[in-house]
Amino acid sequence: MKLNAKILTLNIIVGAALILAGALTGRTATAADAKLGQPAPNIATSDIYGEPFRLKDHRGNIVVLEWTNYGCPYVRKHYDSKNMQTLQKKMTENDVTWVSVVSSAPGKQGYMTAAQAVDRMDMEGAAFTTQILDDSGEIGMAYGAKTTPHMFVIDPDGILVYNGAIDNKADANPDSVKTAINYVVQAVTALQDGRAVKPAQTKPYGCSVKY
Amino acid sequence: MKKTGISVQTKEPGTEACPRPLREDAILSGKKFIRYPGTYIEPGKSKIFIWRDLVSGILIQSPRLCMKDPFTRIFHLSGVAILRALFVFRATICLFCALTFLTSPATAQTPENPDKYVQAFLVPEKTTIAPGETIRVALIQTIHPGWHVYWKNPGDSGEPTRITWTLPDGFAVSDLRWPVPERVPFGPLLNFGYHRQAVYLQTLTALSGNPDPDKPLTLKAHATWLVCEDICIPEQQTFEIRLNDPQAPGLAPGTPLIFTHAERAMPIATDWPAEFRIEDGNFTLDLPRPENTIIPEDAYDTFALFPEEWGLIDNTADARVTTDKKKNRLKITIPAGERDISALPQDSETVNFVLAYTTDSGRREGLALHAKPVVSINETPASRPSGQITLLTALGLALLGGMILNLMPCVFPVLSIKVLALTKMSEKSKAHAAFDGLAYTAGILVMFAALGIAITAIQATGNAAGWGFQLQSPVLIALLAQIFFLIGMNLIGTFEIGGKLAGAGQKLLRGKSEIATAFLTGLLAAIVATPCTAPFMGAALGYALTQPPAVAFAVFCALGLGLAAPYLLFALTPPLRGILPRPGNWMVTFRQLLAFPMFAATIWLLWVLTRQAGDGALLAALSTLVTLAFAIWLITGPRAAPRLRALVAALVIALSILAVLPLQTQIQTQPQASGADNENANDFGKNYSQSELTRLLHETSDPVFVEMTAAWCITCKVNERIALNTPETRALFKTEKVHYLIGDWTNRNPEITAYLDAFGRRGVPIYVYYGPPEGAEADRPAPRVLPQILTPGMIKNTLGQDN
Repeated sequence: MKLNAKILTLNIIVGAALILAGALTGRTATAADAKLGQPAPNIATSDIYGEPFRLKDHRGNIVVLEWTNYGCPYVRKHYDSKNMQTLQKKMTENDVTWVSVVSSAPGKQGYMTAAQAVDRMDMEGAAFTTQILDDSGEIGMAYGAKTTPHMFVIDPDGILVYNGAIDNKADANPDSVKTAINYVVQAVTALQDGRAVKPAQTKPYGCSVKY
Repeated sequence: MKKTGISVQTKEPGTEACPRPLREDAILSGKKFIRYPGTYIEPGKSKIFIWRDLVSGILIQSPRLCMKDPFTRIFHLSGVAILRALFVFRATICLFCALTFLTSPATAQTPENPDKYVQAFLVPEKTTIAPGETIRVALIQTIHPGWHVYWKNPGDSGEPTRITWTLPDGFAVSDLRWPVPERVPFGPLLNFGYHRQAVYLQTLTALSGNPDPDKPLTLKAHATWLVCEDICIPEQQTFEIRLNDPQAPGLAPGTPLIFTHAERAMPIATDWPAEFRIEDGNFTLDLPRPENTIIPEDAYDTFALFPEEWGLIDNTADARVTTDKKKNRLKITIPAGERDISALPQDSETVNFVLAYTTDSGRREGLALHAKPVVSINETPASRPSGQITLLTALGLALLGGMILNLMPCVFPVLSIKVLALTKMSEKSKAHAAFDGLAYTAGILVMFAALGIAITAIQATGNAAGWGFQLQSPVLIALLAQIFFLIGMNLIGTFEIGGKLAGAGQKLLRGKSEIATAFLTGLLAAIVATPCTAPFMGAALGYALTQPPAVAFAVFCALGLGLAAPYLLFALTPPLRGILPRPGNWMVTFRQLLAFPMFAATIWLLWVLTRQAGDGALLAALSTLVTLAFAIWLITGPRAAPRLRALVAALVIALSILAVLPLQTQIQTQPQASGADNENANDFGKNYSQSELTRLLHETSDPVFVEMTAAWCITCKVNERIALNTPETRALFKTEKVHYLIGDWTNRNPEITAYLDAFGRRGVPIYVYYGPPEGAEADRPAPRVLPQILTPGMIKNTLGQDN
């Protein structure tokens, strides 16, 4: 039997690659793939500077994901009080990758083009590592992001270890940040000290993500 | 529910009494009023509508107005009404208040702020309070049309209304009581809250000894809320109420009505011993339904469940209601939420729920339920073999299962390859045969390992992948169809690339290419022949996928070894090869004959493709086959230059792969929609859904037969033809009243994957029989799992055992 070995090889290699690709990408469309204690859904996109951003490139670092919408009063509470910027600065100085994600659809509150996002970052004095614009909501859905702000912490091995609110003060009152217990700080500190993250899940609060 | 003289409707009034459409806006005294949606009151027979001036927020009332009815005229006809409208009802959007002369209320609210989306008032039921007495206080929110505020558990986002009191010593205030909420969808999210109006109640208690009845009291409260439409705005307001103050204005005459209606909007308290559990991704609330229940049976379709704790249910999902036979228990099933149930607060002995429904008269009511969480023992319908077997047993089972796989109908498509390889054994030298056998085995092992790694990798990302998942990709199916077509063409002798190149002095090279061919044959055999599970395999696979990757890998390799075993046995045992027929000219004819099973396999693959991605995909795939045939004709032509051949071959292969790539996006999400499923050989079965199975199991006492199948699973198809879709079985199912549910796993389907998982399986087919309860009060017996190869007798026996 003399099969055309080359055709076969090529077809099989391509085929196998496609099954894998199909199996992996086709899945992310279903909502909320993110599960605590499981690898965080991959993110492969470009950021507001046009640079490629791949979550897996940040293995070895703690990654914080912050869902945001600058028009949302709950986001305003954390930005107007400088709470968010201070946190971003402190975290990124400690080798934490802080990624701000905007899942607002075009025409909805909080939607920005990349250029507007860069300007806005300066205006807000934001100190995140980078920001990604998720107009299609695909990343938001994969993570099950519901509110702005909604925070996720991923450990250096790429495992999702925290999903929920930024702190325990579920209100829009800027004064409350002073007395709030910040869950993201708790999670990151626990990771750095090699402790288990507790709580690992809280109810996120804020405006709806404007999908 | 006693009927009061005045009924308050929340539905838009019909236009039946209006010869023309209802009027939506009107001008009065230079102000533009719009009809306030959803609010109208019906004292006696004449309907009264509420209108609002959007600029000033002023509310007025009028009788029903049809288009062209002059607005002003009607108001001038009842001059008193205008006065009321402008002076009495200013600041009150509350439709209850609209009935009343809220002249100078004791509720000294801050003036209405037209910039706000919620107008709020704080109203006590009386203006005096004696020591030890308790009075109710209503917080009334009137919400801008289209906007909403939030319930206690706001759902996916949002923030509930909060109120904090500044009370003198000796006073206490209860928690807010919340009216029955509504579901408020927002894109892919869902909130719980209120539109138009919400009236919350609280009780204020003067502890004994307080207050001094002669001393006026001022109580202050501060409320915050979030009001959203597309965007959200937090609002807040400070209130004061004056009690025991003769100087303060008296209560508005309509005040008692406010409380009557507010109480009616509250959920009805129950003390039913309800329970809830979260199992297999589903939240289930189990509650008794007393004989004289207040819930009308017709209302089940209108059920909405609101848990006070977040994350218990998928808020966006609809509730499914099932009852047991006697209809004295209700089960409400909703896909579970994202919350880790073990992280529920330890102190929460019960969780409060509101179960809302619509009565016959169109009224939205709710029950307050307190349900105990039941710790999931995660019992599955069948004993889960994965938990009980050891690694050694799993390896043994995998080896055995792999060997048996060679005999399963699923292997038909690669039968030609296998038989041919076997017949060629006899002409080979000892070393050659051994190498060939090892290469074939290596091919199978590599593919099994690759599939194993892929499945574990997909699982690691939190997704479910089952055995045979590779054939759920239409692109792969199309590529396989191409490969099988090419192999068929090759077998029948249309082209002989290897043969022409292999000259006299290239024996070594030829040997290498043969080994490569054997290896690739192994790969192909594994990828095509493995979508089905064989006996023994199910348990081994189920075990492997719950184990660490290294163990899973070992089990997959054992499976592959089992599949390769018979062939390897011939290759490595020269005496065995002796029993094979001698080589000769018959082999040429035999080889050509074997081309036809390959073409048949091509047809099968194209059929699977059509089922997965529609007839557009079929057209694309068939076109690539013609292109490939054309390319073969070009290449094998006598004048074709070697370079041209290579170029054409490369181009055509690239084209045919590119042509089928877009198929991945064309997967039909609902392959089992409409009558298409009849093709699935069973027009007497119904499509499987978990909810349907649950319903059948709990609401009927008929037996249920569940089949999980896939277009690409040939074993399944054979079983259907031989044992299931036969006149005898049809008749049997009919007489025994068997409900027959068929799940189609041709494309990905998490619900079916979950079902397989419950039985510790990772692949199709699976046949499960749920017998009827053994007695009127008894539960159903444990479901019986039938073997992967069915015979008509088996079905008969299985059903017969219950009689």
